[in-house]
Amino acid sequence: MTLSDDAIDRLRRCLDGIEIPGGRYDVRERLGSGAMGTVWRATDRELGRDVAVKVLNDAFDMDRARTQLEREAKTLAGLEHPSIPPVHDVGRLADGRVFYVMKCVEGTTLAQWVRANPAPAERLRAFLKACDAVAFANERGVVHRDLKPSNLMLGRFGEVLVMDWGIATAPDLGERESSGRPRDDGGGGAGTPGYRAPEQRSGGPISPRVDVYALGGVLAFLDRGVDPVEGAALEISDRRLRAIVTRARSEDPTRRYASVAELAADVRRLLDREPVHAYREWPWERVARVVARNQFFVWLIVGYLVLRVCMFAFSSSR
Amino acid sequence: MGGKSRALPPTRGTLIERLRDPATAPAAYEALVAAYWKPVYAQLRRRLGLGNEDAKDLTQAFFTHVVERGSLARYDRERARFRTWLSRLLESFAANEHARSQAQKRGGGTAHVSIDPESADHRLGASAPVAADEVVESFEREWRRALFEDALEAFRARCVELGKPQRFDLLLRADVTEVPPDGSRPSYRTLATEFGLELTQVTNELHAARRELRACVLDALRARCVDEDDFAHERRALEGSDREIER
Ligand SMILES: Nc1ncnc2c1ncn2[C@@H]1O[C@H](COP(=O)(O)OP(=O)(O)O)[C@@H](O)[C@H]1O
Ligand SMILES: [Mg+2]
Repeated sequence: MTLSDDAIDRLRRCLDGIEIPGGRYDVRERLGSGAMGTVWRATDRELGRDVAVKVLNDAFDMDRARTQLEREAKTLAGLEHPSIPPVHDVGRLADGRVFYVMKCVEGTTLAQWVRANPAPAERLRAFLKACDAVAFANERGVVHRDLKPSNLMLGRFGEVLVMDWGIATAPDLGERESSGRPRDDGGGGAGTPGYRAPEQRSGGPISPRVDVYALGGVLAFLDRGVDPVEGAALEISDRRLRAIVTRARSEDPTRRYASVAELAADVRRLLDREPVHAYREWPWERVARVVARNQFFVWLIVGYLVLRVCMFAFSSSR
Repeated sequence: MGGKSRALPPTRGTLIERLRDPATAPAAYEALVAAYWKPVYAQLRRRLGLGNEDAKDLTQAFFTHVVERGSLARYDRERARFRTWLSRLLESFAANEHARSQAQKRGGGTAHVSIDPESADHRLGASAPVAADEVVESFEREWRRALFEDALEAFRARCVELGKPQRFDLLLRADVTEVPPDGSRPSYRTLATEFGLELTQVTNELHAARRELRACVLDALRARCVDEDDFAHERRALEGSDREIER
């Protein structure tokens, strides 16, 4: 038998879609795909709500893929935080693949959101929410290892969610980079080019500073809307922001912020127009910043002075 | 489905690793030939306008060439997908064969043209210039056809083994057999009547059939891929690359 091109197309279509036995979940559209998995929207018939179902794509080595997704679900289940999606269920598809069910986030990834051109301060506030969740995980010994705009989502109520804990290190494993499938095309360790730290590329020890590095990349992305390039100069016009990103993305892990919480604290200072630790400002910059921060009082004083000058002019003209 | 279908036992290690290891090389070579025979044969036949027997001989020669000339050792996964690499190698092999047969026709002896897989400027004579993309594409079409043919064959064997030959026939009728140009594909109701089944039976059987076919396609795909990364790409290409994939 020789198959026609049409027949091949029809058969190709059979490959798509997933089938969850048991009848509880009704699979609907595809929400998104990444390097390792695909996430589908499904309706939970028992509770009458929509959920997200994550399935690992068929891999060359399915056993390894299976353990990895189970591990991801467990990692997520161990991290209860408003900015980390809760897991509801795990199970097997009809074809034997593992899936897990989580909260369905009605919103966009930060990668898409930036295209709608949100205000700079709004971007920084979203960034801080992501930092909170990552700092929380880091404190519990979990390093995400693959932070990037497409793994961060913005929900309907302005909440930010940190997704895709697929290659996160489990606590107390003291892992080195090598486990986990590489999830990129460029070869070399796990992570995504532009966001993965040098020690991830070279197989060095993994610490929370890997996440600091990646979040530095996210911050650069939020400013410019383009992915940072490994080793390339940053094109960020705001000097303080550039200093923060530069420190977060130091090649040498010990020169980065020691934790995500410290990175977040500096970004918060930037937002509040307080002196940023990563940047030594010139005296005039300091004046400008203080003026900008205390605009109300500055205008009050200016108004007062103008009033005094007017009064003086009025009284001397008489 | 022409030729015998070769069910491949699950093997450890990637195809490339097994080909490079003397202990596993013979079996791996068999697997390589089984997976790539059809598209290579079809491509050679088409490109050189050969008859059946000549094309078979040349196909054999090509695989010998791949292994004996150490071409495999030069395969670099950073630079090209395995399938693309093989199709370029095949193209230069075909160009070389073409030049040699032309030289023979002109009465010369055997011209020796060295084969350089990386060189893109091998062309099959002035009369049949082809764009490099076109070569890769037509090879891909044949490659995909062979993939689905092998998968269907494996699926047929599975159905027979399960004692459910009807499942195979049902899928064939539903998704494979051509319908007249003005007709539409048979509905589930039509199939129920044709096969003397309940409507729900048709639904269930077709569901099962497609799921099993899917597993067979993926097995066939694994047999053609050299490593995890290669597999991920091929699977994505097979699903249709029309989707937005996060980077
Ligand atoms: N809970 C969810 N709700 C809605 N969309 C989601 C959810 N989880 C993931 N997605 C979408 O699916 C995409 C891929 O999911 P992700 O977990 O990052 O997969 P991968 O491990 O393959 O990168 C995300 O970029 C996002 O667009
Ligand atoms: Mg992802």
